[in-house]
Formats: sequence, C-alpha cells, structure tokens
Amino acid sequence: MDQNQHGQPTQEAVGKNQYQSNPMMAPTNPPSETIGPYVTSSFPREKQHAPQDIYQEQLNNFWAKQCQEIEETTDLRTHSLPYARIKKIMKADRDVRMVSAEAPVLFAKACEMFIMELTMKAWANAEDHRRRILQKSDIASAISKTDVFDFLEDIVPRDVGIPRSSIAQNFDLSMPPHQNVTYPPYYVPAMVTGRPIPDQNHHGP
Amino acid sequence: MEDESHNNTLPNGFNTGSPESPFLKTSTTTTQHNKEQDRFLPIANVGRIMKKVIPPNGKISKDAKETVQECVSEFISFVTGEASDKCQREKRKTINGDDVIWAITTLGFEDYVEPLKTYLQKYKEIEGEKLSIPKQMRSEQRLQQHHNNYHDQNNQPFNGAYASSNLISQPPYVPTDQKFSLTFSPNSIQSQLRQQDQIDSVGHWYE
Repeated sequence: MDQNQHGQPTQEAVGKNQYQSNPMMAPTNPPSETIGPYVTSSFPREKQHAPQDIYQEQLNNFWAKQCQEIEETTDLRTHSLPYARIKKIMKADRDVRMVSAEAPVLFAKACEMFIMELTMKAWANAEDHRRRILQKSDIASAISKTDVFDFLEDIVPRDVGIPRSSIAQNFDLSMPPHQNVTYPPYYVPAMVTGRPIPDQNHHGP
Repeated sequence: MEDESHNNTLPNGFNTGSPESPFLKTSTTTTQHNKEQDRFLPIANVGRIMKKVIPPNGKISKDAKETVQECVSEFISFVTGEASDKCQREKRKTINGDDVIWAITTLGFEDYVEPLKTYLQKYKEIEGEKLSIPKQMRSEQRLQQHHNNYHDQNNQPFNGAYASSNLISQPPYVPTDQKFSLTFSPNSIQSQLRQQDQIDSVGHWYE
C-alpha cells in the first residue's frame, strides 16, 4: 500500500522471517502494482485464480519446510506451546482417561502447524481485500473455504463480515468481556499446574 | 512451573496497533476464572506463531488472535475425541502418540501426518528413556541425569509406554525381604537390605 516502503519490507522479510522467506519470496515477481510487495500478478486484480495459485505454492513450500525443520530439530524442549495446558484441554473430555507423555508433545507440534496454516489462509483473504491487518472475518473466510476446517464452523459463523469488530459476541463464552479485571491474568494458572500430580499418582496403583 | 512463569512475563503490552495484551476475562470466582484460562492456549504464544507466516509489516487484530485461540482448543478437542473413541473400541485406557496421528489422518489433515510421524520418532529417540518411569506424566519435571543413568543400564528407549504399565503391576518388595532374612547374619541385615533395596528398585524400575 505504501509505495515508499516497497523495498524495505522485502529486505526485512529475509532477515526477520528466515524460516518462511522461501515461501514468501519464491512466487513473487518484481512488483508492478500497488497491491503490495507480497502479492504480485500480471493478471487483472479482479481475477481470483492467480492469488490462489500463489498461496497454494506457498502452502506446498510450507509443508516441505515443516518436514525439514523437524528433521533438523535436536531439542524438543524448545516448544512453543505449554504441554500442561494442552493436556488440560485434552482431559476436558470426560471420556478421556489417561494421556501418555508423548501425546501433548505431538499436539504442540500439530497445533503450531494448524495455527500457521489457518493464519496463512486468513492472510490471503486479507490481502485479497487489500488490508494489512488480519481480522476475525479473515479467519472466518479461511474456515469457510477449507473443507478440513468444517468442525470450526460453529465457532466462527459464516456470515461474520463486519471489519474491525472489537468484541467476539458469537463465541460460546457466557461471560462478556469487561474492563474490570478481578485477578492478574497468569497468576492463577500457576496454582492449577500443581493439580495433575495427585491425579497421576492415583492412576499409578 | 517454568513455563507458567515464562507466560506470566510475556503479555506486557497493551498496544492496539500490535496487540500483545493478555486474554482478559471477568470472572466472579476463582474457579470460573481458572476454567476460562484453562480452555485456551496462551494468546501470546498463539500470536507469536501467527506472526511467523505473515509479512513483517502485517498486523494481527486482537479479535483474530482470540478467534484462533478458540479454533486451536476446538482442534485439540476434535482430534482428542476421535483418538479417545479409537482407544475405547480397542479397550485401551491411554491415548498415545500413534492414536493422535491416526485421528489426525482420519479427520483429513493429511499434510500433518508426515511431519508428525517424524516428530514422534525423534521424540522417542531423544526422550524415550523418560517414558519408562511411573511419573512419565510429569512432562515438565525432568531429571536428566537420573534418567540417563537408568537408560544406560536398561537400554530400552523404545519400550517406554509398555514398560511403564508392567512396572506399575510389579512391586514385589515383600518376598525380597523374606529371602534375605534367611541368608544374612543379624549384624549386617540392615546395611544389606538397604543395598538390596536399591538394586531391586533399579531392576524393577526398568524390567
């Protein structure tokens, strides 16, 4: 959008997103439109075909990159999502009895890939609408366009199209957000972390 | 605890341009607040992962992050439910890594399968010895030196999940005491029992 920054974002991309620079840069041609440095096309802007091809190639690069990153990983402790919280979400289902140690570890990786795939598709929608800020409507659009995300339809109603909506009224949360905060946000979960210990001991004998 | 402490320091900013604020919800009771927090992964972690796949000058609104928080929890519950159903059909009580990969395959996330299989194999190679102790569920409390010692003696890195169940059902300490009381003199019984206890503990820990 800002023509003055056409060159700089390209350089920043190489430095800041070294792990994703290939999928971002590979399909990009020299920019010939004001649409932005990451979406270039010789087709008219009305067409949807070219951007989808570009993002499909980005997705393919993304999955190849995932396999490569995992092969090169030597320390699995550098996880990006807390195992304890994942396990707690898993055990929210009453039918779930015991969870092996490897399951939350796998889920941490699966969730990371899930978040990245969902975000990439949502960002494609934001760029189609010539925006630089990812909105909830972009997430909703990505979900509606992807069959494998059907299970998320209840979370994000399909008709959500209001840009810059600040409050998520459609979630199944019963409590609306308020400015008044009763407790510090991440103090209480630290106490909850201690609970699994007696539960695990109980399963032992 | 270290993870929680780390999360505790992350969400400091309240800049609307690049929202890093924590997921604040009003709660009338501590219990309800805990449940609210526990239903989602930390918004800072989610936001950081999202930023890895958008251009550096792109922004992510707070409601987009919150939406993805919801989606991830739903993804975990969705896959876990499928894996749990499979375990019940097969009369097993513990959901393991292969069950998770099977569920993800069944639910259509084919692209995830190869990375996850590689990840699980690598996990077993690196962390396998830790699965063969009764406290395997404490994935966040690891005694590296302790585990390495037992791993060297036992050398069974790929049998963790099953060795654990065997171990739980075999705590034969009483017969050992009876045997030793017949073969040692009264003066050295205590010291010998202590040594034997250690050996038995080591042996049964990994058999």
